Amino acid sequence: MTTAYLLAWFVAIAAGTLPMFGLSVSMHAGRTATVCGYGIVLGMLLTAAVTALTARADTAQAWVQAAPWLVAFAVTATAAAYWMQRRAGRAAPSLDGDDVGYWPRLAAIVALASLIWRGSILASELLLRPTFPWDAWDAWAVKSKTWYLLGHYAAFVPPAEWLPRAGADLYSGPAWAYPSTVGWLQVWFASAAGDWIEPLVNLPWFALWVGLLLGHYGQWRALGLDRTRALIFVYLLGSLPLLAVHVALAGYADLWVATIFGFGVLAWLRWQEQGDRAQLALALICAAILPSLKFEGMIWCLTLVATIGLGALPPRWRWRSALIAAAGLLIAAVIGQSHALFAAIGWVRSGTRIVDVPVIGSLSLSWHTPAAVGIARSLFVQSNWHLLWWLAGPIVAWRWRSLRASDSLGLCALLLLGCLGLLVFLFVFTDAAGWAESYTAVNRLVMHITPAVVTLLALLLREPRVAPIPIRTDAGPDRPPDRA
Amino acid sequence: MRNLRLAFALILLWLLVLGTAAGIPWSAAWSPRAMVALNGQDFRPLVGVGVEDGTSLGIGAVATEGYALQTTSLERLRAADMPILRYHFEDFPRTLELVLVFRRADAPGDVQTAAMPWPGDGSVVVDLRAASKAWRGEITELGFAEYPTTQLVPPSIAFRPFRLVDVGLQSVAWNAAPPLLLSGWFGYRPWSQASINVVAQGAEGSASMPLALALGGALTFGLLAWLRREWRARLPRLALLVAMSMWVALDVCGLDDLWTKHKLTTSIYSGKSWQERARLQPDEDVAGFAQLTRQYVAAAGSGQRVLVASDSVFKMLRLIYFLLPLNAAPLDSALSDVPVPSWPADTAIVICASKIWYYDDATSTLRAGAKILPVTPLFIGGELGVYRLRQAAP
Repeated sequence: MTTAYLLAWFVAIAAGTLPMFGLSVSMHAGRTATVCGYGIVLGMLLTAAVTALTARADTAQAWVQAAPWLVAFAVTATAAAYWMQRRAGRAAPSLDGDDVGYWPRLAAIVALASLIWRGSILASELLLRPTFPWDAWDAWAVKSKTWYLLGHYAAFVPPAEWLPRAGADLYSGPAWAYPSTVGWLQVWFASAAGDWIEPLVNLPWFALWVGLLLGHYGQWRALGLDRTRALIFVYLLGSLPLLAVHVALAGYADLWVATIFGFGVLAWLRWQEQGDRAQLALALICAAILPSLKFEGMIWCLTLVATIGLGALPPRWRWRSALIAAAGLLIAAVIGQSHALFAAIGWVRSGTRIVDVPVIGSLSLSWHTPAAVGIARSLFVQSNWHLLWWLAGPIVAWRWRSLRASDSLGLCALLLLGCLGLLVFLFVFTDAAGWAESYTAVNRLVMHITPAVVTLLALLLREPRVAPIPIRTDAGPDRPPDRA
Repeated sequence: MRNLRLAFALILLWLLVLGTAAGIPWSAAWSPRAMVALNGQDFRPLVGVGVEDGTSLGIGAVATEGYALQTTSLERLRAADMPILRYHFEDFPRTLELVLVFRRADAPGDVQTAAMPWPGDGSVVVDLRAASKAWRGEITELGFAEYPTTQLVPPSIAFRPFRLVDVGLQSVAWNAAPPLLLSGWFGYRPWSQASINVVAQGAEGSASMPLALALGGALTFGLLAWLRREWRARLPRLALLVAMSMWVALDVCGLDDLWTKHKLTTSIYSGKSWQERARLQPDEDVAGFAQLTRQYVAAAGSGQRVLVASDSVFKMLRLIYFLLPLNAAPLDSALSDVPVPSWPADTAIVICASKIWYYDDATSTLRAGAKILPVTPLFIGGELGVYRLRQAAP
C-alpha cells in the first residue's frame, strides 16, 4: 500500500466522520461509535459522489482531482452541522452505567473477540484474492475498471445505441444501466493505488462491514441498549454468515444497500424516540442514497420515506392516510392497464395478472409453491442467517406488549413487515419466483433488510428502565416520545 | 439425583436429535452389519500417474486433461446395503476437489459422479444416500477423480502428489453418526460462484445444522422448563440462554468454514505481489485469450467495437472483463439489437471456446446456425479466433 492510498483512505473517512461529529455535539451513549460507523460509510459514499462530479476528465488521477473538493466540502459541512446543532442548544442526554452481571459481560467480551477474529480473516481474504463473484466483475466493476484504465469517463448505453455510433466514446455491456456509485468509489481507490489492484479496490467492503457494526452499536446505545446487550447484538449482526460472505467475496452492492437501509431506520428511530432533527436529516439522506446504490434501493427508499412520513403524522391521521394511499394503488391495479406513477422507477403498469416494472421487467402474477419452499429454506434451513429468522417470530411474540406500547417500534415493525411482504409477493406471486427457487437473489434481497430486523429485535429486548432521555422537546412528532 | 435425571434426559434428547440429523434410522444397529474395506493399492490409476506405496496408492501426476482418476471393480455390491462411505487420503492438496465416481450394473455405459467433501489428512465419512440419487441398484465399479477446484484454483498450480490410503463402505449404524455429522457440518466446501447467494457449509446433501439446532434448542428449552420447576419463573432468560448457545454453536461452525476457505486462498495467493496474483486467475486460459486478442485489435480509445462470443457465458463475460478497457460487448446481444449492416466497418469479433460459432474458410464467414457474418480472420489458433467484420461495399 502506498502513501497515496493510505492518504486516500484518510480523506474518505475524514470526509464522513468530521461532519458526523458536527452533527453529534451531544454526548449520548455510543456517540463515538455512531460517528465512526456512519462516518466511514457515508464518507466513502460522499467520496464516490465527489469523484463522479469532479474527476470525469482524468480518472487516472481521480483522487488528486477530487480530494480538494472533498476536503472543502467536509470542512464546510462540519462547520455548518456544528453550528446548527449548537444553535439547537440541546441538552446532552445520558444513560445509566451498565449494571449487568459477570457472565453477560464475559459473553460480550468473547463476542467481541470473535468479531475481531472474523474481521481479521475477512480482511486477509479480501486483500489476497482477485475479484471473484460473478456480478462483481460482470456488472459492478465493469464501469469502474473501464473508466480508470481508459483515463476518463465514458457513458454506458444500451447495445442498440452503442454499436451504430462508432465514433462516439460510448461503452455497453449487460449491466450498462446499473447505478455507478460503488464504481466511482473503486475509481477513487484505484487511482490512489496507482493501478487496477483488485484487493485494494475492494477493500471498502471491509470498511463497510466495520462501519455497519460500529454504526449499529452506537445507535443501539443511543436508543437505550446497555453496553453488554449492544455488544451481543453487534456480535449477532456481525456473525451472520451471508454478510461475512459479501465482505470476503467483495464486489456486490447488496451490503451497501443493507447498511444504508439499516442506518436510515436507526436514524429515523432516534428522531422518532428522541426528536433529534439531525437524525431525521440523516434518515432522509440514507433514504436518498439507496436508489443510487442498486435498483432495488428505490423500493426500500420509498418504503422508508413512507414510514418516515407516516411517523411524522399525528396518529389519528396515519391510518386514514395509509388507507387512502392503499386505495389509490388498489384502484389503479383493479382498473387494469392503468398507470401508477412511481417516482424514479418510471411507470408501473398493471394489467390482468401482469405487473410491468421498468427496472425489473414484466411479471405475470401466479402462485409459485417451489418459490415459497425456497424462501422458507433460505430463511430457516440453509446456513445464511444462523437462527435469526427462527428467533424473530418468538421474540416479537414475547415482547408483543412492548411493541404495541411503542409508537416507533410499532412503525418499525410495520415497515419491515411491509418490506418482507414485498419480497414474498415478488418471489411467490411473480415470475421472479425462479430467483427464489434457484436461491440466486432471494437471500441477497432479504439481506437488505436484515440489519434493520436485528435492530427491531435488539430494541424489543432493551431494558425499559434505561430507555433514552428525549433530547429535544420543541418540535417533531406531536406526541410524547416513546419510552419502550 | 435430579441433576442426574436432567443430564440423562438431555443426553438422550441430543442423541436423538443428532442421530436424526445424521440420517440414522432409530432401528439401526450400533455397529455396521456389513462392511467392505479397500486399500489404496486396490485402486488402479486410469487417468494420471499412480504407483503403489505400501498398501496405499500414490498419485504423482495428473493427465494432460488436468485431472486424475482411480477406480476399482466391485462384485455387484448392493448400494442400499452399503450407503456409508469412508475415505482416507494423505497430503491431499487443498487446491483439488474430490469427486466420487461409480458405475451401476443396470447402466454399465454411464459413469455416475458425486462431489465429496475435501478429504484433508484424516478420514471423512459420507452418507451416499444423501450425496447422490444415483446411489442405488448394484455397484460394479468405484473410484475417485481429482480436479482443480472449479472457477477458484488456477489449474497450473493445482496439483501436488497425494496418497489414497484406504476406503470403506458399510451399512447404516449408529456409530457412524458422529463422523457423518462432523463431515456433514464441518467438512470443507470451497468458495463457488453460488457462495455470494447462499451459504453452503459442510458436505452437500447433509442435514441442515440450523434446522437441527433450532429443533434441538426448542426441545432442550421445553425439557429444562418441564424438569426444573424453579426455572419456570425465568423462562425468557432460559430461552435466550438456550438460543444463544445454539447460535454460538452455529457460529463456531461458520467460523471454521470461513477459516478453511481462507486457508485455500492463502495457499494460492499469500506472499505474492499483486502482479503475480493477477496472473494466477482461476481461468488462466481466458486471461491468456485476452492477452492474445489485444495484439490483433486496436488500442482502447480508438473507437473500435469488439464483439465476443463463446459457448460458455462465463468465459464470454470473463473475456470481456479481461479485455477492459477495450470497448467489448457480447456478440449475441449485438446481433439481436442491431442489424449487421449498421455495425461499424472495423468491428472486431472474438470467438472463444465455441463449437457453435465456426469459421468457414470457403466463404470467409463466421457461422452459427442461420447467423452468418462476413469476416476477415486476424488470428485463429486453438480455442481462440479474432476476426474483423467485412462490410459489403455500398
